[in-house]
Amino acid sequence: MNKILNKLFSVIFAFFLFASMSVKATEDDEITKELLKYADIKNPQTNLKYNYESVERVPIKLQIINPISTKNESITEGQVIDFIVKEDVKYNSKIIVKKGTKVTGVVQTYMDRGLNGVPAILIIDDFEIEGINKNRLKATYIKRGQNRTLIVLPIKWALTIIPFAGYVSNFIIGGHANIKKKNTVILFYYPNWSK
Amino acid sequence: MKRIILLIALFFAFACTIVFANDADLSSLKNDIEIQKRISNIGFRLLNANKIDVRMIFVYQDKEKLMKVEPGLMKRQIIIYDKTIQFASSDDEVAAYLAREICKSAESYSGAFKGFVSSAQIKMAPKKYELFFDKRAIDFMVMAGYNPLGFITFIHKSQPQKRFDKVSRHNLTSKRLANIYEYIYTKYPYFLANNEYLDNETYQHFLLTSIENRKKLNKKIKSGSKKAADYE
Repeated sequence: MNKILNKLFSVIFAFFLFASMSVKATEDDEITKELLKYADIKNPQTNLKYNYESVERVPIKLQIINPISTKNESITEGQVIDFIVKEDVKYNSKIIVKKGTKVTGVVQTYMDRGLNGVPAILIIDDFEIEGINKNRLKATYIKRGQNRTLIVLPIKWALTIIPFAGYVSNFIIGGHANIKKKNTVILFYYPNWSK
Repeated sequence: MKRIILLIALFFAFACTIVFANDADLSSLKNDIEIQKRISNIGFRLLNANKIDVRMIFVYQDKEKLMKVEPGLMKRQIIIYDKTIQFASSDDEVAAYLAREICKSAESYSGAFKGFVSSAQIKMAPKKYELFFDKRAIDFMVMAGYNPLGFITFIHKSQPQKRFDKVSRHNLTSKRLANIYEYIYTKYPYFLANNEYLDNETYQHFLLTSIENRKKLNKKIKSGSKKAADYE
């Protein structure tokens, strides 16, 4: 009788142990599962096969279609930005990208401006140009706002003779990062890069 | 005669000590070389994959100096200490630490006076740059083929949790983790959908401690809001 009871208890114990383990592994991540319903799941791009021996490069000049700024609260990481090619891109006397071709870039990340004259930073990358291998592009475009730390530091040092007065300069805020239509975004295409 | 025997015995005892000491040093040196090799490989893979065209070096040191002057900003020398690497149980986690330091060092090359002003800004506004570097580091890791969830586990087990961050020069670790999670969800949901870290004890504990913050993210996504979530 004892043997049967022992077996019964061990089966019940094993069942509860298994059930609690499976609940831990799945239920804890329920929120993520729900979140993933709204996500666009793509295999991320990597760059693991490279050969940077070649120095031959071709500039690709772009112009933004709709100007963006860190001043605008609607800017988000992962947002797709449209550009057009400003001039024909030639390699070996052949046009490889025509003027007016639409190009997309992605807002990789941005940092808002801050105290002490720290400027906002806006980083655009992951440019997609028809017929161009992404891994052969050197194309991280970084736009910074006006750097007012160059004003902050001299004021701070000049005011050090008056106790605590230097802190006043902390309240000088840096500039927003803007990409306007007049800005030319230059990417470099290295036709012989990558294995 | 006794003196001669004593001298010979002393000589052998001394020689043996030297041999044992050399063996211990050699083993420690071999270990240091292995760690250094691993760090340099991961570091240069991150630089190459992300096409970072500025110089920096990766150094392993077993003792942390008391008076350190941010070698990453001053000399573009990324130092990983024994105390830090003991938390890294995989290449993803080593890459997480290095990628973050690479962002900082690369930033110190830009701007006026050969990057002096940028370095000063990083020192003046560390809280702002902290989140920015976290996000850039994730981009660097993904491009170099590392799993960004390793960033979460590394921060979760190596950074303590303070009480407040309102008057601090650093963000609360839980807030940093929530922002990192949101960034991975927004840009690289692939890693959450094919989660290799679900059996990792540290990751499970992160999930357990971030329920409220993840609910806030859920609410933000459902509402379509573009405002920063108020993570705690």
